[in-house]
Amino acid sequence: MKILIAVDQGLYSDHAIIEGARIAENTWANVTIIGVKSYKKANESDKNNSLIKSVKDYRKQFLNFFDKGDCPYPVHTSDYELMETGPGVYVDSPVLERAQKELKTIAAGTGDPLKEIFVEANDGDYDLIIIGCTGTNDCVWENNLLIPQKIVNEASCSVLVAKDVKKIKKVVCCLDHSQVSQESIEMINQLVTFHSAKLKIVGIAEGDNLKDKVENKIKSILKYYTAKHISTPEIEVVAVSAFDAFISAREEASLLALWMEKKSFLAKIFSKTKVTKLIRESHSSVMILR
Amino acid sequence: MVKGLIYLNADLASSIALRYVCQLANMKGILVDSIHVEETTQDMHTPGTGWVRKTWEKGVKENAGHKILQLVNAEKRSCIHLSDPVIMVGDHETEVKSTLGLKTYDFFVEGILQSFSPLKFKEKIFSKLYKNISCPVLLVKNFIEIKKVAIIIDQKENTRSLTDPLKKIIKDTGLVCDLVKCELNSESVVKVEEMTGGQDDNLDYSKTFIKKEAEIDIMKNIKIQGDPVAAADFLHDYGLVVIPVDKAMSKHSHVIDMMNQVASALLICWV
Repeated sequence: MKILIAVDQGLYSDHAIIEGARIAENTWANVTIIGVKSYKKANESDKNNSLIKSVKDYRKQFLNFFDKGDCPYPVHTSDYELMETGPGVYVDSPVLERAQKELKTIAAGTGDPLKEIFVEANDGDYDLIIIGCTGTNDCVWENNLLIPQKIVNEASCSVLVAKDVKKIKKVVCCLDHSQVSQESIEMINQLVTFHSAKLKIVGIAEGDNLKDKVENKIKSILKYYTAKHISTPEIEVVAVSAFDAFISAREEASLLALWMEKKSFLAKIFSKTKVTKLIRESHSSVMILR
Repeated sequence: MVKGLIYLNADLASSIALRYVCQLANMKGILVDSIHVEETTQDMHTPGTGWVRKTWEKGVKENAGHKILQLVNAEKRSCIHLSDPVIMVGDHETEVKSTLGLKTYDFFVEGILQSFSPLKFKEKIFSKLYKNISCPVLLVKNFIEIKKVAIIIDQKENTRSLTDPLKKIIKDTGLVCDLVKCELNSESVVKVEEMTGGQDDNLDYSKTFIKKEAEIDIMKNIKIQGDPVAAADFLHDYGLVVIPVDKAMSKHSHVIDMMNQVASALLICWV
């Protein structure tokens, strides 16, 4: 599995690093931390030094999550530096240290954060992008940039928007189709495990009943949990027509995960505008699973 | 031995209900019979009588029976008192009522998926079958491990309807039982109080009555005040909620709303 954690220099990025470390710890993922800058200074004398420093600090913060003996990622020596590979873009210098998993850091200070994040996401073939944002009735980056919403709407992989809010008590996963990957189920498991949260699977129904393929998918998810001797998730059925009301009525301390497929109802219900509204208004983290 | 009858369809709700009742059956040594009724609709051209009718019915039963048998066989290994399903053709309500009347079943079991909308739940509770059924009904929504049982009490005289089912199904299982008195209103903030002896006459009476008639020790007396959603949320930790229900109750009552929101299983004891 490959995770891309997109950060800037805002405080909410700390939360993205912690959530990324939690998921990485349990999934043994290869991780890239990409630091981006939302503006280009007219005076380039800074030469992105503050961004590079931030990225190094985030790297330390990520590694501090792991116990010294158990860390599968390379812990660089004091002469670790980032090398300039292009105008405003700095990546890890090659190191000789062996490690079980990869931890890459990139500082992309070109002033076009979205472009840098998507270039790396597409080149690196990531399974999950993690991004933080402000948590109080809004979800933006510094200077009110709608980076999180754009990533959620345009990424081709799963996206976790990590809001720095209260502890998650429940993970609510919604699906209306059967194309649910094993990796996405594992990701959900990790979230449930490290938050000690309860899990609810919500089947979206077109009419009164779930489609057979959705029921069968839920059955197979239940079998998976039984086989792993994990507490069986709760099941709930929500009609498409009531889905907005359901989203509004859910508990504050719950993480919403939507399994979105191109032809699914969720993709139709959640137009780009609605996804923007959802992540803005949600009191807790939102995960779009693709 | 205690006997339960479970109605099965080849669907998720039935699969969950079967697993749940097997959990209970293994705790108490309950015999579980299962049935499925393949309904004939008005559009079907059902042959009239005699050998042709019998052959047609046999074909319908075989088709329907295969999936139901698969469902039952999947649980049989862990559920020793589960018998092979009986497959019938006809009207669901008529055949279920008739089966319940043939042997003396101590309770009837059905699965229903938890739903955001209360319509399906209310349809079931206020169905003709449930109106006419006399034994308690175990309505299973989710498979939740049963560790604690909530026994809902309202008026003193309704406690009587709980004791026989509690004695047959819960006594000697080792499950922790709490008495819960729900004072439902429109307040979304729930108030939960653990009551000691002398604080609530209704709870004290019910505790003594249940101990005497059902031989069950009550761990806690609890009073909840709040709206149905908040009350159901409190009951979330209970693997089974036992509740007395008056068949004349209004569809729009707070109790019905709370029952719809309970996520685990309801043992409905008719008043």
